[in-house]
Amino acid sequence: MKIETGEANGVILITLIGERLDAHNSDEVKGKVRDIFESGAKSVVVDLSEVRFIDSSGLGAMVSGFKNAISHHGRLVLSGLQAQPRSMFDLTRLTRVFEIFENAEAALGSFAEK
Amino acid sequence: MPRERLLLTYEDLSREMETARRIQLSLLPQAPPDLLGVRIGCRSVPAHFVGGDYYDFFRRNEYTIDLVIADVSGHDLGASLIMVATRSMLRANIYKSGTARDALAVLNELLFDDLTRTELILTMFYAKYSIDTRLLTYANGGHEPPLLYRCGAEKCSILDSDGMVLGVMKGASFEEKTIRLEEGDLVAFYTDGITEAIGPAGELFGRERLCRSVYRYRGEPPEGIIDGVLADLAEFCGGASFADDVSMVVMKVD
Repeated sequence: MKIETGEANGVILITLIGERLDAHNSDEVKGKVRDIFESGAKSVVVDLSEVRFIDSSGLGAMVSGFKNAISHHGRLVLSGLQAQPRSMFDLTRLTRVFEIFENAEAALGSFAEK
Repeated sequence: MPRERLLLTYEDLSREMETARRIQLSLLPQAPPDLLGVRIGCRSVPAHFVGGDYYDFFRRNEYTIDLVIADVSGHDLGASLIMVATRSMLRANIYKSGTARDALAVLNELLFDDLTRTELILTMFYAKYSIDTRLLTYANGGHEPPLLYRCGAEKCSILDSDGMVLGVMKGASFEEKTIRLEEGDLVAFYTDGITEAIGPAGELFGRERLCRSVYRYRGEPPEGIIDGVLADLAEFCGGASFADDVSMVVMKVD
């Protein structure tokens, strides 16, 4: 899993490059998101458009990011969910707590509207 | 560090992990409960020494039994520690929370801070079965929905009800549903180590394949159904060792 970060208009875009977000790389992703909030960021997009498979550890990493956002009075949103990740978010009802956008552009744009 | 010391450290660690494995397996029911009117089979295969899968049975009275299956995210030592904490809290509170939905709601509150600190989540399916009425009442906290096979049907259906994975939202509530089972019906509870197992071409075993497997072995007793499903899974994966923890509980109505 490669984790790319960029910034646009004060919003941090984290792009996960890799087919699987699972027990093997979820700690790395958790740590990266945590570091970003601890360094003072308030607005974060995690783009999952390259991720074809996510397991419960991967979901746990996203929940950890979501909780980090709350504790730092920030906002974390997701974008680009493929079919299997989408079904996992549906199954666990995490679609109720996450804001999920079609693609990274829409997710980044949502911060401008707020 | 001298080589002897390194070897000793590795051996110590292996021994400790083996002890942890033995203790964790001993915390699962050693045998399914013996009841009139329903037969139950159960199995858990950790991916490594220890894992995050859990199932349990609680006999409420002569006629009622609670069945629970759960999965802590991850399948390492950290997940196994939370699995043990989950078991303890569930057991300590089991006779205080009367309904399936209450059991999940109480556990979500009790475990919330621990799950936040450890950055883990927990899925759990909680069912209550009355032998005299054959009513199965259940609630789901984001867990893989169990499969229901109705005697004489051509395929399985799923048991789902609305509820979020545990450890995400304080104050979460859970939907509860009730169905009546009939003679010959069976319910298969399982963890995602089965549905998310990967075949040689990279495809997932998936719920559909599991449905077909349960259907194929529907005539067997519960332990035979589990044997059959695990054999199909091993064949699909190209070996009997699995990448994730695999657990299954099957109940069959007589």
